[in-house]
Amino acid sequence: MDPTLLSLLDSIPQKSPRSKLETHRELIRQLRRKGCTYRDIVRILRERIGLHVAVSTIHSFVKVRAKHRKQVQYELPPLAPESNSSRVNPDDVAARIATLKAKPTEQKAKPKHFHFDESEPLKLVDQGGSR
Amino acid sequence: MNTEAKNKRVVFTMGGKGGVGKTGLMVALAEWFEENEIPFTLLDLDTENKARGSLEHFFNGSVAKVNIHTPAGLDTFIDHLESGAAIILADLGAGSGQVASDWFDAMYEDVSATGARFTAVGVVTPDPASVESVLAWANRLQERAQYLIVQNATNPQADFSYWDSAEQAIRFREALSPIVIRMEFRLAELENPARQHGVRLGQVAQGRMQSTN
Repeated sequence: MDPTLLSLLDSIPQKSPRSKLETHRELIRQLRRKGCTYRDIVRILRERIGLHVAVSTIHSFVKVRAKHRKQVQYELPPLAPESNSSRVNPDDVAARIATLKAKPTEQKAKPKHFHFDESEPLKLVDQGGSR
Repeated sequence: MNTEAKNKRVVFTMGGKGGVGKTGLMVALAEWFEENEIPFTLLDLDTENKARGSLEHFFNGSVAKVNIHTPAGLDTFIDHLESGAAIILADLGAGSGQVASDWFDAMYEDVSATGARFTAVGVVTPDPASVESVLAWANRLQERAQYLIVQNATNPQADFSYWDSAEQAIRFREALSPIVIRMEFRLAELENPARQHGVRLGQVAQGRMQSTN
């Protein structure tokens, strides 16, 4: 490349990734290869990496990169056997599990506004009894 | 949050009792959107429906099948939600209560976080079982959806006593404020052959049928 252009390139600082998922791109690709759903990936990122994302964000991320791969005829790499060096330390995993267990569960159950007992027959009000 | 899914509305039939007119209602709704040139996406979540009664039969080639019995079905649904029209019409199968309910539970939080909203369509007939089916669904969905209840007059003197006067139905109306509309009686002599040939009643009314097989 022309030295002038090279110096121009050097003068432009590297921008940070547009998506917080960018640093986990390879992990996401491999998880998709293993048949994980978007929801599975969301759960894995949350539980294993502490990254909170919406399913739709994963969807968009995967779709955009799939489009890009198609354009540049990029092929997915074959699944590599897990190497010893990339294995997670079991102590770390145990510690993370212990932390997760210690975390109080969110009380998401909302009070019901309507209750219907399926085992109970419909009661007609103006006839004063069941059918 | 993905902005594409904002302002989207998923209109879905509440499963349960079969033969009450859920697919017929969906066909009528789709026709209405078509006539008014409002873009919509049709999804058939009723993978067990026979060809002649299914949405696909009425809208040949423009209905996507989504198998909610598989985990990948959620992905497919989200794909359609993000890339499709603002209105999603989804037809659930009869008798798919628990499966469909599990599917709704699994996707609701994520999908609603994108800004999408849900309208649950229930069809009641004079048959009390149809009312029970709608109430059972409402019991699962609670305020996560808005409700449209259609009183389908399956005979000329249709009596909706169970919907109108059952204590449980009254409580449902008070708690979740459904919009209630009525679908007038249609002649079986007209509706059944139309269904058999995949012709919509709107097409019949406007004489826009083509002779097929």
